[in-house]
Amino acid sequence: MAIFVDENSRVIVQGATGKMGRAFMAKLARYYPNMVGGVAPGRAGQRIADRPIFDSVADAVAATNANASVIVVPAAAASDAVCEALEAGIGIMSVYTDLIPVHETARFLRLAETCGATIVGPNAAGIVSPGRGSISELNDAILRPGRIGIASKSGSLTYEASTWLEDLGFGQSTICCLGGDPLIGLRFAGVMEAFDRDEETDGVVLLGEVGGTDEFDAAEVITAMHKPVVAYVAGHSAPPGKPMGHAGALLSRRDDGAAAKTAALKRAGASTVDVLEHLPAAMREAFCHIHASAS
Amino acid sequence: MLLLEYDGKRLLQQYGVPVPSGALVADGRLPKDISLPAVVKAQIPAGKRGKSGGIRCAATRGEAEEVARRLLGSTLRGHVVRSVLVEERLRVERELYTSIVMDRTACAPVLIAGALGGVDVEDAGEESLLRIPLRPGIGLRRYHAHAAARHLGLEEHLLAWFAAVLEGMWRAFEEEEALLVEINPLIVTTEQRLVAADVKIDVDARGKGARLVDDETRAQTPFERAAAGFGAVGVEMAGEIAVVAGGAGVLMATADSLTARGGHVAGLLDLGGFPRAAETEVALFRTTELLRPKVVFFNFFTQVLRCDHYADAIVGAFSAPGAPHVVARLKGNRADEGRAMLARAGFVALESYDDACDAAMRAMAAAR
Repeated sequence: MAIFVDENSRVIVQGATGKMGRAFMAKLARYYPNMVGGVAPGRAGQRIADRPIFDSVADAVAATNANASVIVVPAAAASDAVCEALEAGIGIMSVYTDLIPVHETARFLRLAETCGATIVGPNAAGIVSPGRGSISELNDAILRPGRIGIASKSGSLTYEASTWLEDLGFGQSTICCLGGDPLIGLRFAGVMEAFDRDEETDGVVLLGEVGGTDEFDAAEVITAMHKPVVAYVAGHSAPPGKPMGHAGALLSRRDDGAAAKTAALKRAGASTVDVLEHLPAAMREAFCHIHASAS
Repeated sequence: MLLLEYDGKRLLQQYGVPVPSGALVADGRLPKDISLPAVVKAQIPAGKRGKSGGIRCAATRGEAEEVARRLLGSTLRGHVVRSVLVEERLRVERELYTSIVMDRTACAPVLIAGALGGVDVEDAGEESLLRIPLRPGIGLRRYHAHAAARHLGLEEHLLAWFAAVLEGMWRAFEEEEALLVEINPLIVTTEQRLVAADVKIDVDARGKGARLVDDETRAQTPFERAAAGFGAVGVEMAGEIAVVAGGAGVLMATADSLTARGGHVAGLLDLGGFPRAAETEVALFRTTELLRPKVVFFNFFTQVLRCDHYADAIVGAFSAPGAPHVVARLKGNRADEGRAMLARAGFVALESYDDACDAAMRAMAAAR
């Protein structure tokens, strides 16, 4: 089953002819036959990574039945790209683009809500169900199919966690990297609900960060979950008022620090760690009843 | 990015919000026509100025001059005071709180109103604050203003003024793409005027309002500016270990791990997408120059970028005598080659994250 993307996803890349777009096309084409094409205005008829390029998302949908998209256009074109995908009926899109003005993000997130579409990001590494479908920049070479879900704000921490999972004999059902912007579409709570329902996920690793309230909302979901959850929230040492690389990782209020979030996740029943290097031991213990070889 | 109070007030005034009469003073010379008694307020892009002595009252002109001279050039909450605002002192009947903030949970603007304005609204408690989500396509309407006025217990004759203040805040919020427009306190004077006694405006660095912030008022250190200059992200902290990594999440995690071991992090440099050794070398060189760390800790788990390229840059930047100690954790693409190169050059290079954090602490102890 996996969540959000799988073998039934038919993925296009918006902004396919730019430098980053070409890299996405090549990478996704290598691992995923269900990456069905790219979009770049005025470039219809070209092929990149042996996939067709279309003038518009509507054309791509008409020709390929695309239902998922990765958006890698420059920030100034991002709102248009999202609206075009929404109007063409794309159900889930991952916005890789960074530096989109927050007010623009707010506008297209609300539009997506009225369209019933899911937006991942902006500034997100995206979602991948290894071996099945991807709207993500994560490197598939070090991922492997399995039964542990990862919900994360950070691509770099996801690599650490997935490698340690592999050392323990676990693969991943779906990895959701939600992005580091202050406003994002899909959030931890929605991901945890989906993992809880997913029959192919036996346990979840949550990698949060300082700033905002998403981890608190996730804790409420975790309270009712029956699957083991291991959590780490980055930014215990973050000084107040400084964005820590991610614009959204900003300790701004008294109660959105890493320690408060960790405590809330722990109260909800998650197994929490205060430093990254304790993650492997916590995962080993929390997931010990999950049959690793079944992954 | 916070606007200085003076800039925020000037902006809100353009949108019809009444502000106290006052003047900006940068050189210690007060204009002729200041109204007394006066308030002298240090202009820094940070809150809690009252608590740190940045807001003083003055009964006479001489007193105001004396206070201004003392504040100018001093350092408050990490910022040098380059200017002070000398304002009329309002006769206060009531102090209210109003703000419009881009709410991360609602992904939409929210109007917040509280009857207890003043120094620290966080102490007022959430339950005393009215929160009205401002929905797209609807925005802020007259009935929202009325609802807020009722919550604040405002009298009838203030209603139209109050609605105009909120409308001005809303227009500024929308047109400048602000993240926060706050008036705290919004004062009801004994003459029954509404005046924005203090204004805090946070603009999006990527939005239209970014033009309102000059380099000096950006809360950025020379290191952070330099990092932005070469396309990376720098975060300056106060310590002895500089952490260089690729990705915000792993940088924060590395700082956490070193801090938990008793280390003090001098700053973080996110080299995320740096492809070429030459650029990396320059970035590392500048980082060392500006942060003056005793230890530089590299943490790279690379996918596409090559660890041996990073190793090359590290050897180039840190081989001169007097360079800080270097500890590197290299894993991923061509990591074996990278570690071998560093080891040959006499640097500590490891694959395990945990071991590398320990090694950084040992290097720190040796550097002391």
